Amino acid sequence: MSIKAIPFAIIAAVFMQASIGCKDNNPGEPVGSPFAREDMLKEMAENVIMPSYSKLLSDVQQLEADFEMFKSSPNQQEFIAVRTSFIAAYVSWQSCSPFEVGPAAEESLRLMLNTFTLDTSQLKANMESGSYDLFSAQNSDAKGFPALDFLLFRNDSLEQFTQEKALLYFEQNLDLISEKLNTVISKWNDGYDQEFASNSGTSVGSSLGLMVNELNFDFELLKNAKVAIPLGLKTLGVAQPELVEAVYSDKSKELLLANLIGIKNLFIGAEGQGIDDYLDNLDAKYGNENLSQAIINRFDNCETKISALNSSLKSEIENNPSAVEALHTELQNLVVLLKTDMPSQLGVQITYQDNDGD
Amino acid sequence: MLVSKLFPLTCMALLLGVSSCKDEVQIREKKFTVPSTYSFDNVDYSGQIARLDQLDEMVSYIETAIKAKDQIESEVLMEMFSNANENGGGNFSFSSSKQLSDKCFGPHVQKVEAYFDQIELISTSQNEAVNGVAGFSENTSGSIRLYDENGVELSEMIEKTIMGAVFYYQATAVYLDNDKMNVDNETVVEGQGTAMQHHWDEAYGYLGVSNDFPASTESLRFWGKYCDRRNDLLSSNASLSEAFRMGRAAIDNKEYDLRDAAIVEVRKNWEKGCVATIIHYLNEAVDNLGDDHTRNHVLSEAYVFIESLFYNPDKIISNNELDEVLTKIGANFYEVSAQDLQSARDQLSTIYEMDNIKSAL
Repeated sequence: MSIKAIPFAIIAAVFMQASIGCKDNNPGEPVGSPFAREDMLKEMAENVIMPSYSKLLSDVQQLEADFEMFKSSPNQQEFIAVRTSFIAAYVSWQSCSPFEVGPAAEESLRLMLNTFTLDTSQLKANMESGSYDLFSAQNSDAKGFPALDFLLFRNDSLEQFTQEKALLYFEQNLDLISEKLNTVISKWNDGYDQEFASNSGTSVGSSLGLMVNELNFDFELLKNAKVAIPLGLKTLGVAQPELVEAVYSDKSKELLLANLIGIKNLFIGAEGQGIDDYLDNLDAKYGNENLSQAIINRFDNCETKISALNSSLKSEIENNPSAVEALHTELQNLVVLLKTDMPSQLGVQITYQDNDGD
Repeated sequence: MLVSKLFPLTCMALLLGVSSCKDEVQIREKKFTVPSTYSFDNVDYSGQIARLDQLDEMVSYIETAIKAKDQIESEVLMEMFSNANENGGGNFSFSSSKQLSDKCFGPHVQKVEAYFDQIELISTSQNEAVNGVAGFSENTSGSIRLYDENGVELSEMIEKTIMGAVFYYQATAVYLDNDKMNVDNETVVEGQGTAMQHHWDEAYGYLGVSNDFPASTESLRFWGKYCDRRNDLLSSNASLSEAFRMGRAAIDNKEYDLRDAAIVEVRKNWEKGCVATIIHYLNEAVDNLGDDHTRNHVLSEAYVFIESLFYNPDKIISNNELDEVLTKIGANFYEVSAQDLQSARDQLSTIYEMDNIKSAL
């Protein structure tokens, strides 16, 4: 019976080889020119962040207009118009999802607008009682885009959507999205744009530090919540396809692709300077190639894998899981570069942690 | 016993650090001590204790009702499982922000909730439990149990499924997995340690033993209790406790290879304790084959512990083998044969190399 104790004695005596890297890549130590960073931040705001918010705002306004039109003449044609503009707005949101810094962080924009999986029983109870506070903790997963997705697509019947309680819940959620978004945009225009550019250090709390953290956080959400969890990778291989994003409209693939492209766009700074240029400025290498190019290549690999899926991520998980597993592998390959190599080259520390509150 | 001589276990790991850029080899010796009980700094698993308490009170609600042949309400169990209003809808004697349902293996939440509905339904039965009829069963010594029409004891299914799908799953598959182990081990939060230490302690918390375990086997709960019951034949207390202590000490000393080895040991030894428990109950079933009251109870235990094997990410048994073993037992506990139960037992003891103790368990 004493056999049980032996493995540890053996394990404890093993020789371990600890390799010590040669390159000094102390996180937190500013590297590169501060001027280059300030220019990069300014351009990222101008070329990526503000245009993405503007696009989302105009899509949300279109949705509001279509919804008003539907209310005045609730017919099939207007119903389709609302559905179409909802999808457009939801797709546009995906590019904004990584910018959870400054005003968006203050407003918890990501949590407010896109917490899924939707708690449908909470939503139904709210709708039924008509008395609820969308900001309360118990409604954290009963609102925003997922709630709209449910109300518009739970079935194809106009009748259900046209019920007074459903229309009211839809409208209040649409108002919530619009209000939060307008607040964030005005804070950017009201001076945060300056603050964002001038907070150009690399320490914890600097704009670059925050952005790199949020870019990673959003990418991990994409990898885990949108792919790994429904695929069953967090549940011992038991798939849960019903946990995909936008399960009612079945647009999860389109949203996933938009999210990935949005994160990539933030990295490359769209047409202007982005993190990739700054990495080049630092002469950051990955093997023989530029780290920036290695990251872009892996983004492209992920994009190829998403594009190769058929239009329903849910049905792919059910019927063709190996294609989704292949995507997950590519996403993992990219995480390594985004979360380890990139921050270390930038002198930025990853400070967020997966915390389940226990 | 050799086991006792090994405590405190002193580990000497000779670390060979190779620095390729300086063309020199650094050798240093590192020692750390593994304490004989779980006495580390900043250990906090109050969240796990809260969940053990919650399951305790759920089980006691069910058992009290069964003893009195009262109706069991699905709604009450649901409120307790999801900890409605942070006090189980008023059914817990204490308040807590913790839930069982949100830590339950996702795909099996509905299965647990279906048991709640089913136990409510059969608890209203006026019949005596017999093959094909759900109802209460009472033996000559006054023990009262509630069986469904196939002899399945739903109170056991509820308790043990939660032990498996929450405690065992969270400990072996969540807290000791990469996502929870590849975390910060530098910043110490007072009272909770680093994120990595805390996750490790949370896994330990689900074992249901005190920090004095195994020196003390007082106040063991759930898995801790079953671990202790197999201790004579398996030395399971020492091996499981040791694996947890080794892992925590390795984390404290940033020896991640040793930590990873300890993860393997925790998973392996916890699983062995579970298998030995199953074999024990299968033996009991064969010994009491003609006694419906007892056989149905021990078979329910065996069945649900077999299902629990699934939750360990390093489980030795394959999913197919798991199904085979369950199929041998079958869905109707009134219609089992000694041969089938022995065959189920033997398949397990072969897979887990317990042939030498299978009859003694």
